[in-house]
Amino acid sequence: MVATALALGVTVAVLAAMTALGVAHSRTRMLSVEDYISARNSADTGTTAATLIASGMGAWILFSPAEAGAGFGGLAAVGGYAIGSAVPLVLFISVGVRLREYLPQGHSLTEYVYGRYGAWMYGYALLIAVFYMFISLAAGMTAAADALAFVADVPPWITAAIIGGFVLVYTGYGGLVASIFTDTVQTLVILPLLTLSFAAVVVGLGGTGAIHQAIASANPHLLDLGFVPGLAFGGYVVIAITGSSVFNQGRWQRVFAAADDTSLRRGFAIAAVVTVPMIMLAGLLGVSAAGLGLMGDAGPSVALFVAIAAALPEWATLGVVVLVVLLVTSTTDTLFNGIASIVTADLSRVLDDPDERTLQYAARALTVVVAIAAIAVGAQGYSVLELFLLADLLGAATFIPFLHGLYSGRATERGVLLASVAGLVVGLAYFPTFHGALVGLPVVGSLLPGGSFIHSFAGAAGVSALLSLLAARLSDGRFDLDSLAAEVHSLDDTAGPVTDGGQPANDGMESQGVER
Amino acid sequence: MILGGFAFALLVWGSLAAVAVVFAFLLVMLARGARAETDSAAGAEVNP
Repeated sequence: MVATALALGVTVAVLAAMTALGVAHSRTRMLSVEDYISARNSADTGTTAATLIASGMGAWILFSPAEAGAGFGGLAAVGGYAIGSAVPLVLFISVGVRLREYLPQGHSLTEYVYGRYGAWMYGYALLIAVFYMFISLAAGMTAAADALAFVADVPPWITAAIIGGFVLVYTGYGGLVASIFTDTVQTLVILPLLTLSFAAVVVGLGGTGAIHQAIASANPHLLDLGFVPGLAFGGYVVIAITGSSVFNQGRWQRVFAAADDTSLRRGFAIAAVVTVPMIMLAGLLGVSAAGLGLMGDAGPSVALFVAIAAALPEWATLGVVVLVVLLVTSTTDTLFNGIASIVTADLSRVLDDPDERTLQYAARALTVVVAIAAIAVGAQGYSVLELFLLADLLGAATFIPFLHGLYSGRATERGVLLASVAGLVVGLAYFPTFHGALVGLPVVGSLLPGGSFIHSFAGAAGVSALLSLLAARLSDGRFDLDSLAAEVHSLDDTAGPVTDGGQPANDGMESQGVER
Repeated sequence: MILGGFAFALLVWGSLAAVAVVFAFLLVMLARGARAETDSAAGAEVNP
């Protein structure tokens, strides 16, 4: 175990460096509220890929894939996890290009759903998106706190407060512009550090030959690509991650931040390509820890840390501290800004013609509120796994009807809402987490099937997709997708005269920015 | 189907190599982007 003071010193140094970079980069730009929440058309291919990699790869990569490998089904489960993590990125190549075509001035997923469907579906999607992102934020904070407690005995509230505080400084100041820039730097450190760490662990555990031999003789099912529980786990993870990713505002922001469609396509493709081997490697180390009998009393969620502790000298654990801090920082800034941006984009519609400065203040104030809430929850060390699974199920039951309207003018609000709710009901009927409570319900309790994640998630996605398609076929309506562009406009355009007597924000470049 | 020793080694080292290749590609893309931005800024100074 590393000394607590040393680990804290490294943590603060890494966070201070990121904060300085984020603030310095933002200071060089005149930030309008558009820059703050959308950074529209600003990220080339490399930047788009880098920000997607960093913002998507949280501290969970050190826990979940290894846990899947060690605890849920070996290589088959890890493979499912890797594919499941890449599928949403591939999906967003098509979805993203359509979004940019129909919502050239868009900012958020809620703008799309309000313009395309209406207030009821908007409310439902907003609930899922904010719930999912806040749970992700809390889970990331908790994972980082757990990791630093495991390797250096750092009290969880200190980890949560330090990470949340530093990230708040640069995200509150520079918004999405700062987030994308620091993501790029973080990717350039995270990718080689993760790769070198994984390679060193493999060598430290005796090389692939010794690891394979030990697993094959002790737990051969971990190497079985046809292991049914592993395949079932992998299958449900694909649906769960894809469904919930659609409601991650951070992804939508990066769709609009890409410089053009080519940058979007290539950036998302590069991020998808690198995600698969990264998850495979993290999962393989979990498989190795379980196969080599290293786990002892430790739970599968810390399998990767067990492998690292067994293979590397103590000082190398400091590299893990740096990794944990960078991984959680990159997702935390994305989620801080993502949640704040959803509300800010909607404020322009809810408030009566707000000026740009009002929206800027609102965006920053919301970022502070989200950060304080995340720190408070992260410091408690709650297990949010069950809530995370529920958020995944909500996403799985809704994402196909939600996106259907982007491809079909026949999809109606009533149809997609009905399909989503029906999918959720089917998913909940099979959902193992709440199964114990649900079977106790009068009348319906005895009719419920047995709990199974794959049935729950596949049922939710399948039923909602079928009903959404059926409702669209029965519908007489024809929504003109081209009319969406008129529903959403630049937030800079909404500004009237600014409070200091200046000109409206759309009069020129100088008035679009708020100099700080 | 149980993964053999060679396939296991290929999976591990192949994954590491794949990440390294993508990282190198990403560096090239970022360098190109930075150069384009610099050129564009220099152009704007010459022709404001």
